[in-house]
Amino acid sequence: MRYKQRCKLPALVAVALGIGLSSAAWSAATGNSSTALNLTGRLAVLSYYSNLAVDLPLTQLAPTNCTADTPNDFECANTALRTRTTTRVGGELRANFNPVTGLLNVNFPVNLINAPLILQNVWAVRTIGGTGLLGATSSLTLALLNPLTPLSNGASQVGLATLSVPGLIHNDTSGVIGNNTPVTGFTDAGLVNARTGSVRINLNFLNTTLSGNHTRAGSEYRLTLTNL
Amino acid sequence: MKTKMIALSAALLASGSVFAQAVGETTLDINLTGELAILSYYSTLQVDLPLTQLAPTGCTADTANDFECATAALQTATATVSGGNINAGFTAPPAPTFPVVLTNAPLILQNVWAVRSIGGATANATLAVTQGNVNLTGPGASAIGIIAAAVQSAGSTNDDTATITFADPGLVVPRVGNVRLNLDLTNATRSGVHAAAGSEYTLTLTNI
Repeated sequence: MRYKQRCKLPALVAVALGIGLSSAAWSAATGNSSTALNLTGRLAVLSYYSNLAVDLPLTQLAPTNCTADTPNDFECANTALRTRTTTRVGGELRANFNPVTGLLNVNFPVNLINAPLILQNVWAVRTIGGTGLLGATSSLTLALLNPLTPLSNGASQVGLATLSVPGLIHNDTSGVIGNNTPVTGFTDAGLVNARTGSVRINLNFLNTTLSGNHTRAGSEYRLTLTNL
Repeated sequence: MKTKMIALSAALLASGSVFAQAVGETTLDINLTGELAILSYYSTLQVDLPLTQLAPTGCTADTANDFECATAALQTATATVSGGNINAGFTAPPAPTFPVVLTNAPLILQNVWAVRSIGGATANATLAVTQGNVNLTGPGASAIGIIAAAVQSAGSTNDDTATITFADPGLVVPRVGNVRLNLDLTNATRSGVHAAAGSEYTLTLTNI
């Protein structure tokens, strides 16, 4: 009896091995696993340029209703006949051609006391996880810092115009500058595809008399991203 | 339903805050490059000069346009006889006093130019005037001469000369000024328009 048991053992091993080979060739074993990934909390990422310099060639402010003698020099002739009657003051004969309705009508391509400067593509926002009442939304707000302190170059100043509220502009999906409204309450776009956009600051050139770099200490604007 | 509400509250507590916020500040410098000079001016002017404004002083107006200028001082002459005439040789009455020097009368064309300028090496601009036609002809043989020209702008360097210099005023508020033409009315004998083809003066703005 003990002998018979010893003889059977190799046969059993052979059978088991044969099963193993045949399984790799034409049989399959599959298993489904249910995995849940729970993103908790929220994340708001504001990318931005913190140090900007804008070069503005003055020829871009050239008037549109004048004749260029050179690229930088313009003559704006008012050709309508203007007639004035002299008055005599002392030993002089004076003919006063009041310029209010004549010489002052130079058409500049921008409103020089409220010129919108669009800083294009200076911010990018990645947000996820908002749970506000509006759903997964965030807001980005812009604040001018010390708006009454102009940028200066000696006695020359470029003011931050307060006639218009500064604005944020977001790019639409095609990358084109969109509307000119503040970006608030936008839907979280996730972390991979950033929502990008621009900043509009209006400039006042009323007291700008020099070319060159106009600057000041500190920052000009602050962006605040809030994941609601 | 009740189970889901409990789960949401747990998630809020786990996040640790009601909202997330990121704040960033940016500095902005604006560099104005190059220069710009804009000269605005009237290119067609007409000045009406009522002759009554040239009325002499020290005379009596018989009408608005007619004056008698009597020299009341006794004039004495010794007569001479020649060719059957008794000639009393008085000298011609003295010229009346006119309010302007008729051979060099300053005509101030006020507010006929405006300059906007910015940039340049010295942050200044010059405005120069050069004469064109020097003789305006009127009806018949009447003529008015132009004998000098200057530009005027209060506070400028060399004001009331052919070339003045002033600081760049910028682009928003222009610097406005005058042109002075000195007239010679010696040959002005008739009323009416006195003119010439072409220009009487040329303004040149230079941003320096």
